[in-house]
Amino acid sequence: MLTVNKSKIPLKKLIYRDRHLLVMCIPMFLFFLIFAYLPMAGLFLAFVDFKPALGITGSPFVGLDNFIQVFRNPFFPRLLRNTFLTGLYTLVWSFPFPIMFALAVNEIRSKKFQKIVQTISYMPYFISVVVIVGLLSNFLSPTTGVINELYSMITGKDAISFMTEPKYFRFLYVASNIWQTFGWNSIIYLAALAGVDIALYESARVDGANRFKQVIHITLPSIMPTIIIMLVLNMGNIMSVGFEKIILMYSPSTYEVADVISTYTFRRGIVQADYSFGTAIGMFNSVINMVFIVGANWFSRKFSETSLW
Amino acid sequence: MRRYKKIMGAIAGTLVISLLAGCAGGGSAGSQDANQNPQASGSGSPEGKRAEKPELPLVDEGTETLTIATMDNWYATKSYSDNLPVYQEFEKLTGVKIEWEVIPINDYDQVMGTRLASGQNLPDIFMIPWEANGDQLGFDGISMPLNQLIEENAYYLNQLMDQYPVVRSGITASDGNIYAYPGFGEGFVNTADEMDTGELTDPGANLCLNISMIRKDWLDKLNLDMPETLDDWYNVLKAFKTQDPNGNGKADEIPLTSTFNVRDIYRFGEAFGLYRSGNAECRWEIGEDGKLFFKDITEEYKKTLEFLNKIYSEGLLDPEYATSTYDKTTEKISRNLLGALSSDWMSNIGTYNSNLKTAGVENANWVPVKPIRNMDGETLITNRWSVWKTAAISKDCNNPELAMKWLDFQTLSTEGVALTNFGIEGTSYTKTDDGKISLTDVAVNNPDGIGPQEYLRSLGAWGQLPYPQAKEGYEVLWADQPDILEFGNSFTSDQVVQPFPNNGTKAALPFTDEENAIRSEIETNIETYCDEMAIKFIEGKESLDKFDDYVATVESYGLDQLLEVHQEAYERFVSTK
Repeated sequence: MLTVNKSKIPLKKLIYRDRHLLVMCIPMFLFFLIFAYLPMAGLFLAFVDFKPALGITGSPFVGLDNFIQVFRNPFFPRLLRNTFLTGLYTLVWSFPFPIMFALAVNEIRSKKFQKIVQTISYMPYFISVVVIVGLLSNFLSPTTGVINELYSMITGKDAISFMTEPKYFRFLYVASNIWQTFGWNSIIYLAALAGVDIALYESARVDGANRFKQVIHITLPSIMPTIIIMLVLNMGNIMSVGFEKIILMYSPSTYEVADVISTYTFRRGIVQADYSFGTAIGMFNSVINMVFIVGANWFSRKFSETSLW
Repeated sequence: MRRYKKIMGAIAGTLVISLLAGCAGGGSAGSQDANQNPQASGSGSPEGKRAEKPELPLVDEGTETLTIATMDNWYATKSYSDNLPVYQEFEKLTGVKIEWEVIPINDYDQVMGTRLASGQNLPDIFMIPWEANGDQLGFDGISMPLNQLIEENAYYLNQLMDQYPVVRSGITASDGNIYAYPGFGEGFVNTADEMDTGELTDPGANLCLNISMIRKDWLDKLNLDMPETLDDWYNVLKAFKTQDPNGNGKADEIPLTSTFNVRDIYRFGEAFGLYRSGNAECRWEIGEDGKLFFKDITEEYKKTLEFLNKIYSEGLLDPEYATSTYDKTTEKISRNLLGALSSDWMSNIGTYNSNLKTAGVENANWVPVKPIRNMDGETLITNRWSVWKTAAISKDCNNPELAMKWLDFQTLSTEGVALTNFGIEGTSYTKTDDGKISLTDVAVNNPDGIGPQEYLRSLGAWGQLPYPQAKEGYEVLWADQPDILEFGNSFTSDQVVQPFPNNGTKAALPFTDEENAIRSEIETNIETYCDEMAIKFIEGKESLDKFDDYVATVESYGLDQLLEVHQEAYERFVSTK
């Protein structure tokens, strides 16, 4: 179908022929238009000193002032480093888990048990991040937390303030993230696995491949395009750390590793209506994300056959 | 919960940034005038006539409606949108029908902030979001200048401002305009009845204090006196840690924590003459020469940190003090682990004691502690700053005169003060012929098991709209807790330190538009750095020998400029009459 030479069919006929498909595309098209493209006009905020009553176009134009404010901020290098490292660690550590989990689930023979395992693994995904952080700080509390009570009982040492000690912050952030999302993120890989041709396995078995060899030589290569696409997409989110969670988890004692661009902007006063500054720093963040996603795609296109475009 | 609020803020904020393009473009050209032509400051326009005592009802019943946007009731199960009895009563008295636009407390700043930023379809009256700057909303043309409206329509507020000029200074912005109707803490209104007589009596010092608290029963058990000096405090905390006051054979006591805000802990600076306690957020103080100084770089502050470092390193300060929340603190209290709180509202004492009794600690007895004696041997208490920029009338209001009259009646009339402080006569309180008010049995021993304050809130009293916390209100509420009343009354007026006029986020100081811009760039950096370093100093991760480097860094972030801005705003505040 896709190889039909369009130039031979008049456009009208083409539209008529694909009318059902086109109608089905409309909601998605509108979604991106309304929620992704139109708001981009709001980026203009970054170049004005926004006053609500004057509107965006009425507010005084200040050029790059808001960006200069961002860059001359003494905390900027630290914020950039923390944002990048938090995003990078999240990507590096939490990317492989759903894949491994999907492969493992796929090897379960009992369909019923497979479903149970899957369902249980999704569950944390639906817990609000507020609750997750509440659990963390309750379990890890140095005075009343279960983990510390066990730790002190077994080792006889003093309790550890996990939540206020900077060196544990990123670990806790990433580990709880993995726990919460690996089940959910494995869905897409399980879907890809379901599409692998059974005949491939059968012929591998004929050739004498054991289950492990089948995974390495058939399953993994079959879902590799999915993995690469997911990786490229995730690269584009590397600077978009989950700052709701950071705001809940951090305190002045962990600012040095936890304070990221978005949390700083928040304290700096999104609620105090410093929208222009917020937009400027958000735009900067998006540009970096864009660089990452384009770079990753270029890399992937160059070294594998899979890419986003 | 505060954290949760922040999150919603973050989300809403992001939405604002991405969506504002769609909704704010139109703006409203008309409201610019308010910004450009500020009215004469002070006592209103020459031709306007001063308001007289309003006749009731204000309008014929059912002819007028006001829309009010507010955070919902503190007692969350009864929403204002259910038309609570107190506001039904107001409707009967004034004839004005109220249409509520309620938003859950934790979402209010963000939801309302977004609406205000879009500047369209605003309610007639709105509560200024806590984190927002009421003056800036006026400069931005979102809320109306109220000087003339107050002069001509707010009989009761005029009367109060005549008596207490500080109320006027507290709500006047840098351009001389007033953009908010005030809400009041204690210290202004004594009884409901006198509001209509025009003879206001001075209620004196606050009754409901934000103050340190301690387990008196632990002190008694260990034969210790109430701590008065910093050394006393050290000895008491040490004894709590080492002498097992909770009697379970383990040294699991947490001698001291901050209740819910890490900055509460700096109240120990009282010993060195730093009276931060009126407001934990406040980092400024007025020196003897009338110049402001930034507390976080002073020698006295360093001494405070030395003390905190000492108690932290000896395990006398909760290792979680920097991440305290009300929930966690309450849990530690209920588990019979906690010995003292750096500061908390006296109104919470009852809850703490009853929690402990429920948990089986029969003689549990939390009591307030007098402030620490300072280097000159004085025990001084900081009065809470108690005028807030609470309610604003929006630029979209069609009948601002009525909105002002209604607000004024609701807040400061005899009927209003009675309704907002004691609820409904016959239901929640009774009044004897000689005017003595007492709560009914339903309020005191509520069958649903809620405390008297919650019960009053379930009727709509003690709410979100501006109301004066009348001294009488606390006396009625705490009739069965004479110790607390006595403690609150024990301070003489020369023991009261007037705090820096800045109620934290409400920005009581009249900053200009430009000054706000400077603050927004410098203040966050300095606060971030100071908070971070304070914790490092206290926890010993950074030696206090480095204090000078710390001061130098704070200064390099632009402290001088920030100080100048505050000084100018302060002088403006002082000169407002």
